[in-house]
Amino acid sequence: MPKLTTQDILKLIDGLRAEGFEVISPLRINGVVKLAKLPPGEAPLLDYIRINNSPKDFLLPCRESLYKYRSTATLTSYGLKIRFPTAEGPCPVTIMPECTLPKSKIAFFGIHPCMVNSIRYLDKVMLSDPADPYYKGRRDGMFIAVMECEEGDDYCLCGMLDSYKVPAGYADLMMRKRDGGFLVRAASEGGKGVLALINKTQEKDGVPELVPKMKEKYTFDSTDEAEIDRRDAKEYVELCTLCAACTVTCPTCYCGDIEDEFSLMDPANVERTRLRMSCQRKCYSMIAGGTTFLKTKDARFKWRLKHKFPFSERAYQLKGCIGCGNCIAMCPARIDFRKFLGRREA
Amino acid sequence: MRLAFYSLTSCEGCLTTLITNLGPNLESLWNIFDIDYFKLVREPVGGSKVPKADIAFVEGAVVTNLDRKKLLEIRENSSFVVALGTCASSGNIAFTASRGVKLKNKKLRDVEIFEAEPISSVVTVDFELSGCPVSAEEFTDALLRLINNIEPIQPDYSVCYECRTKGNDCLLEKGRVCLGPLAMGGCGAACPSVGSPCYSCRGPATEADLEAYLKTLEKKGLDKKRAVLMLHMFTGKKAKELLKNGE
Repeated sequence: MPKLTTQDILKLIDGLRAEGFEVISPLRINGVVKLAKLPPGEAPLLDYIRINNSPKDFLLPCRESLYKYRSTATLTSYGLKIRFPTAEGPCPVTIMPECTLPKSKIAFFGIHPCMVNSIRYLDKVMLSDPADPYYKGRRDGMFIAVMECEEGDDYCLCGMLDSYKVPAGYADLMMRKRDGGFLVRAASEGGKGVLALINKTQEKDGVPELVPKMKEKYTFDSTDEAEIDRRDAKEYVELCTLCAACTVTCPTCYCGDIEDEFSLMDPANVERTRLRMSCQRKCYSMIAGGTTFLKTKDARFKWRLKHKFPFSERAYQLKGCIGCGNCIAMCPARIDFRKFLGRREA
Repeated sequence: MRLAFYSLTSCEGCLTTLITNLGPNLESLWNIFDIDYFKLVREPVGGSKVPKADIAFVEGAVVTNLDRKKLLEIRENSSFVVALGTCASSGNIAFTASRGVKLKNKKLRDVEIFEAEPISSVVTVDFELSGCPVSAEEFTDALLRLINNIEPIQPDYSVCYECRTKGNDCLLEKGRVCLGPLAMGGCGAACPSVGSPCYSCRGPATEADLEAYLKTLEKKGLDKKRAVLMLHMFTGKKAKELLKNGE
C-alpha cells in the first residue's frame, strides 16, 4: 500500500482535474466544515469527523430546474390568464417543454464511509426503474475517494448499523491516516489509473478492516412499523420546534416537491422546478382543502423514523439510516432517536 | 386588472424595495396592470382620492386617525387587500415602541396619534406578505398566483430550515440567542448566514412552538428573557398572541 504525503494528494487531485473531474471535498469555510468545490491549489481537509452538509447537496440540489415550457398565456380584460396544463382541461398543444439534462463529472475526495453509503441509498432510490435522468446525469462517471474514519463523535452510530463498511463498487480510492501521511489503495480500475498518474503502483497486501470507535453504544430492539407506532415519543418531541434541521442535513432524505415558477418579465414562460421537501413541514402531507395527515410533532417524528427503517427496508432492502448522526448533532434540542428506538449499552 | 399601492405610517422601505429589486420587472408590471395609485413612482391618477382596485397592497402600521380613515377607504374600494411587509401584518417595531409611552400631547394640529396597530386590527386582510422589508420575489410570486386564481401561500418553514440547507453552523450552539426556530422562513437565512442572530423580522413561523423553543433554550442554558425581548422587537402583535398561547 503506497504511502502518500499531502504533496502527493495535491498531485493526485490535479490529475483528477486534468481528467475533467469537478473535485468536491471537505473544506473549512469560515470555521464551518462542509463539502464544497475545492479551489485549485488548496489541500482538502482530511482530518475531520462531521460535515454540515452531505453529497446529497451535489447530487440532488435544493432547487433544480426540470424544464421550461411556454404556456398559453393570454391577456384578458380581467388581466393575465395563464393556462395550466392540468388545472384547466387537457394539456394545450402549444406546450413544448425545453429541457437540458445536467452532465457533470463529480469526484468526491475524502468523504467518510457513511456518506458513501448514503450515495448507495440515493442510487437505489433515484436509479431504480424508472431512473431519474437529472440524478443520473450527475451520478454517471462519479469518482469517489474514501477517507476511512477512525473515531466518531458523540452522535455517530455507524458502528451499530455496519455502515462503516464501504459497499463494493462504491470506492475508487481508499485512504486512511498513518503517521502524518496517508495510506492509499485503489479499489477500482479508475483508482489504479489515478494512482499511476503520480507513479505509485498498487502493491498486493491485505489491510485489516478499520472499525471506527463509537463514543456511545446503543442497541436497537426492533425497528418494525408497529413497534415505532406503539412507542411513546412524547418526551422526545417535547423540545422539537419543527425546524426540520434533521431532514435537511440527513444525507439520505430525498423527498422533493414540484413547483411552477413564473416571472413577470415573460409570464408565459414557465419554469418547472424541483425543490427540497421535508416531512417535518406542514405542506408535506397537505392535500387539497388544506388538510394535513401528519398533524402533530409526534406523528412527524415517527414518520421520519418509519421512512428510514421499515419503509426503506421493505422498498429497497436497505436501511435509510446510514449512521452519520447528523439529525442528532444538527438538532437545536439534540433530540436523540437512538434513545427512542433502543437502549444505551454500558 | 387594477393594482394600487398604499403607504400608511412607515419608512416606505417595502415599496422602495419593490422598485429597486423588481428592476426590469417593474416596467412589465406597468405593462400588464393598470396601476392608478403608486405615489413613489408617479402622481396618482385621481389625485389623493383612493381609486377602485382589484388588488390593494398596503404597507405600514396604523398609527394616526388619518391612517385609519384611509385604510377603511382602501378596504371599501378594493376587492383583495394584501398587507405588505411586517408593519402592515404585525405592527413591527412601532407596535412595541408606541406602548407604555406617555405623550404630553396626543394631537398634532388635526392629526391624532394612537398606539400602533397592524392593519388586520382595523380591517379584514386577505393575505399577508411578511418581511422587513418585503421580498420582491415573494411579491411577484403572490401576485402571479393571485391573478391566476391560485391561493398565494406563506412559507411553512422556519429560518432554521434555510439556514441548515445552506450548511451553516447553529448560532444556538455557539451560545447566542437566535430566534431561527420560531421565525418564518423565506429570507434565505440572511442574518444567521453572516453570523448575526435572527430577530424574526418576518413574524412567527406558521407552526411556531414557543414553549418548545423556550425549553430548548433552558436546556442549553441560554437567556430566555432575552429571547422574549428579541421576539417583541419585530413581531409586534403576533408576539403578544404567541406569548399568550405559550405561557
